[in-house]
Amino acid sequence: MGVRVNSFATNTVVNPLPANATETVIYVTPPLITAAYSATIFFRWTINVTTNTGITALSVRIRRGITIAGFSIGAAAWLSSVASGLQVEAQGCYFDSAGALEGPYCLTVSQTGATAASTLNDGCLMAFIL
Amino acid sequence: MGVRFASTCTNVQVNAMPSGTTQANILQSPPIVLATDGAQVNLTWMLNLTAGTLTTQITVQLLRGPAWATGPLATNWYTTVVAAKSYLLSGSYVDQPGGGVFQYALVIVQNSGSSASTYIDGALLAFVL
Repeated sequence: MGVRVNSFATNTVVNPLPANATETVIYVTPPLITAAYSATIFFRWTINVTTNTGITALSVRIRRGITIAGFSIGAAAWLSSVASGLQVEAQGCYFDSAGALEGPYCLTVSQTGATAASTLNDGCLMAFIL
Repeated sequence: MGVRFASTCTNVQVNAMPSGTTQANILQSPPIVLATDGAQVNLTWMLNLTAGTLTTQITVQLLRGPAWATGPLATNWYTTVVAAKSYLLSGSYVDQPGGGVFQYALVIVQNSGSSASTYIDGALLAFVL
């Protein structure tokens, strides 16, 4: 009998990037139900962006919940220096053990210094429960 | 009945970022126990840093074990960088270590004459396939 790890993936953009540096929710998972409270959820994400005027960095976070008020699972926002007018790809992995706080997660992006909206060409957020 | 795959993960920086060509373990996983001697281990890592003064190259290596003497899993992974810029580095690899209990470490090395980069965040995860 085969066994599959519970997993989820999305490439559905829930909000466009704004013409400013406001942190914006890009991808959202459904609630992730773990087999045990001690289970680790492994995340892998990628975004491909065409940068616009004023931007100097992309700042990415994964948060618990579906809003920018949620707990950020990283030690800090993940920064990637960029310049305007470029096509860039940012990607990363991380993990979380939410314990009894089972629920959805979201990937958010801030465009540091942006005065015009960059274009999110493609991307995805994957989560699987180890 | 739920099934879980053996895995370990860490986001704890174990050593200060190095300057020059000093090698330093930055992330180090707890020991992982393989289900079978032939099992493969999937290694996935992320490193977010701001390049230090005079830094032009960041080299990332994965080690099987906590010590350099055990040897890198693969060739050096180089990234050309510019000082004071932030970089999000990420990758995956696979190891088939045979039977036993193993730790894995993420090591970085910079170019000669560089100052230590600033560690922002990182993660190293190993899970048994």
